[in-house]
Amino acid sequence: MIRAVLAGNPNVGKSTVFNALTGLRQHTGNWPGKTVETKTGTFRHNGHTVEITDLPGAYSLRPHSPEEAVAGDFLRENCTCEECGRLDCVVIVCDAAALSRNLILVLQILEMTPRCVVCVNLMDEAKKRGIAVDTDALSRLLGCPVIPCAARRKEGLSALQDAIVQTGTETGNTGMPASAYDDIPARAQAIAEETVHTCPDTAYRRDMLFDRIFLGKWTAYPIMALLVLGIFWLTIHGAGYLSAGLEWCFDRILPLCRDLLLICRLPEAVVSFLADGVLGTLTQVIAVMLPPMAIFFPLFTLLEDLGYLPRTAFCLDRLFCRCGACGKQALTMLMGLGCNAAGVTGCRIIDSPRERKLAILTNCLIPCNGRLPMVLFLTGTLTVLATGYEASGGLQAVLLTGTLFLCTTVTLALCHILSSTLLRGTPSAFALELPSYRIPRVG
Amino acid sequence: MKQKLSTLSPGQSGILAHLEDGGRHLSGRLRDLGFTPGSKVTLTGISPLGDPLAFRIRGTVIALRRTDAALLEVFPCEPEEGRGQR
Ligand SMILES: Nc1nc2c(ncn2[C@@H]2O[C@H](COP(=O)(O)OP(=O)(O)OP(=O)(O)O)[C@@H](O)[C@H]2O)c(=O)[nH]1
Ligand SMILES: [Mg+2]
Repeated sequence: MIRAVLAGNPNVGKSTVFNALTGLRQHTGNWPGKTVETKTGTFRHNGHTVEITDLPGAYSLRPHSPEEAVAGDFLRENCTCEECGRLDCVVIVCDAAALSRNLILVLQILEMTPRCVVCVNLMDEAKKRGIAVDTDALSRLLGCPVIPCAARRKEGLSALQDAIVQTGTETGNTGMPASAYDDIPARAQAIAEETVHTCPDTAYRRDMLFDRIFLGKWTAYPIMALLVLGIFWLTIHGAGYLSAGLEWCFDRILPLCRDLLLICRLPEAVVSFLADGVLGTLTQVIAVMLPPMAIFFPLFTLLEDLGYLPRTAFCLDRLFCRCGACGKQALTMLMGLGCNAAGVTGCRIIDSPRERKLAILTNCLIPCNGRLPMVLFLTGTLTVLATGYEASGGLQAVLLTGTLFLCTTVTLALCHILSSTLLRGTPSAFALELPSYRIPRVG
Repeated sequence: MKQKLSTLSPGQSGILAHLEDGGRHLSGRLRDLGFTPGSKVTLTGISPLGDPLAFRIRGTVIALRRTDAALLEVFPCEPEEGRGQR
């Protein structure tokens, strides 16, 4: 069996390559730091079984946080020490549009082991931007196979499998040719200049246009509010129909169950307990709770794949900074909206331990997907109590958005209090990568 | 003329001079993100609240706070050179 591992910068598509190779469904998302834990899968190619592990992304082998150390430690242990583990092949995934930066990590790993395959992913995107990568020249300069890929379209994967098997079974790779530079970043830049051909006019036009809208001085916050409002509105409306549909179904099924129980000649009290009590409540809960979740989650995933989430951190950082926290907390709060557990694990992207604690402690203040129906119920009831009228879907969405706004305010206030009492300290440095916008893939 | 990275105007590019550590271990992090001497940086955006700045460097966009960006120095490029690129 060949043991391989997928390493690389955050958000270059490691998990997408992993899924394409193994057929598993590791979560992917268009923001750096999505993968938190290593995951292992296998595939067969040309009679060889390959066991491949997906690592969390890292910018460098020199870790800046314990979480980033996971990838570095894994590689160091498995590449340098003979007994504790044997890696036959390290697949280093790169973003074709940002090779100059990605090569820094590639060179660091190549210094550790020559048994590498470089996978230049996102080739489809690079081509669209007018960025061309000369993979043959790159392979010569690095002394290891370089495979162009577009993992989301499943292009270049069989070539990648060939290269993994070949590198894993032979002792073959020559290792890096000597270079004039001893400084890795400078060398990475020199290699990139030799192998990447960029047409500067077209490369970033689309991203800049989107950024002007999403990050514009006057448009950023209205758009943020509208996006949240829109998602809530769609959720509430869709959930209304779904709930009605489910209830209709349950209304047909429940009497049938009741009849069935009666046929079994159970006492009246037991039948009533089971049919009206247990089943009745269960179906009621399902009909109310399930639809909002089933609609909200996919909508939220669309926003995640678009690459919008880190931009909210960019827009709101100043507020969080004032309260002694880190702007990336906005991103983890949004993840918390989907699921608080995902929000808490997402806090790994915050480097400073103090700020991370703040984010973890306050994440529960954001009502997650599962609590949304509850909030909806409360706002609905309160509206009826206050005005005597039932709230329409639109009003409900506005109220829900207001609730989220309130939660954010409370979070900020709590962060402020905590960072001036229990978790004292000043905000640390902040560096956040804003990924390029990607068209979300449905399905 | 060297100037602080945080003083670039929107759309303007510069060549990074050298890293000055503000004692917060930022320089190592920034090196790994591609902020190395000789790299070309462009200020592509400013947060609506005025603080984090977005820089395009080596094909990626990295957001830094003004105080952190002030630790780096650049040789600003002529405006017409500074369009798009890397
Ligand atoms: N257009 C295009 N998009 C891709 C390709 N591969 C991955 N993506 C997208 O890139 C984004 C990031 O992919 P992931 O697989 O989550 O990246 P990762 O390297 O695992 O990221 P971390 O776990 O955060 O380190 C997702 O939105 C993917 O859909 C590709 O070949 N082409
Ligand atoms: Mg991943």
